[in-house]
Amino acid sequence: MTMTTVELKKLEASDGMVLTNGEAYGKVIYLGVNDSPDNWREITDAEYAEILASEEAKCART
Amino acid sequence: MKIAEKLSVICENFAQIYGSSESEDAYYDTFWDAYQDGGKRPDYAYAFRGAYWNNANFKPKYSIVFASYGVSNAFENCGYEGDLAALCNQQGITLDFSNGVEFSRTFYGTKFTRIGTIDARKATRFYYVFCYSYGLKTIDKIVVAETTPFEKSFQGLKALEEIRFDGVIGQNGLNLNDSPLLSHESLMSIIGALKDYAGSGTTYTLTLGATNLAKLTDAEKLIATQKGWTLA
Repeated sequence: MTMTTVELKKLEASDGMVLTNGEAYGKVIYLGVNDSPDNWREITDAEYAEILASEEAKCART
Repeated sequence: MKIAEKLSVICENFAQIYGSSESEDAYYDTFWDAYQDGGKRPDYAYAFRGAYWNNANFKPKYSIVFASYGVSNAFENCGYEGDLAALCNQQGITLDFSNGVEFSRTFYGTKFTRIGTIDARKATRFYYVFCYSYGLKTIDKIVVAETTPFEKSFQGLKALEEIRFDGVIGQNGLNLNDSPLLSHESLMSIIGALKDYAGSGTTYTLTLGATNLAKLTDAEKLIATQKGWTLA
């Protein structure tokens, strides 16, 4: 019999910030087994809002 | 004018004539026999596009088997309000997407509240498929393959509550961040369909948003993360 402990790795953004890996965004991130915190950085809520607005504009004119 | 644009204009004119007729019933067979080529029409790209299609005139007579490139924009901004799957049942018809390759904006901006099964296993493009269908609450089932390229497919689906996946969600990731009302069963359907990349060394991202993530237990989140998926 073997026993292993499987853990959930959680990143939480600081107040007023959003986490991103350049493609996905979130206030809370649960890392996959192959992922690393080094792949994620924080941007401000305002920067995230700009990105969302840009995405919506792209969708509207596509 | 491009062929697609011409088809769109023809479609608009047909719908206006058909929908405004006082003797609508008399025109039903004539119109739909012609518009669906007696059930043999293969290309439905742009076929039901636009607000001039509404609850009075959107009543297809024949089942629709979409050709490989005949799916894109098929219902874009269609003005019919309600349950598309129920309408198909009422009409005694089916929608067969299984040959579809190019799915760009198929249901973009529609007023459908429910859509039935969509077989997207052959899709090489699945771009903005349901984008901004603000009233869409249920997608009965999406049949997918590892290669189904979800790309902003679910953007703006604010009302979506129920969705089921059959098959494998793979390398293109998935973003349902705009759908905070997803049921727990829907979330588990998604997690259950994620391909296992644990031994591959690569990471893909499933974006559900904080509200949906809060509906999952740590054990349920672990199912996804242990398969190599980061949850956002």
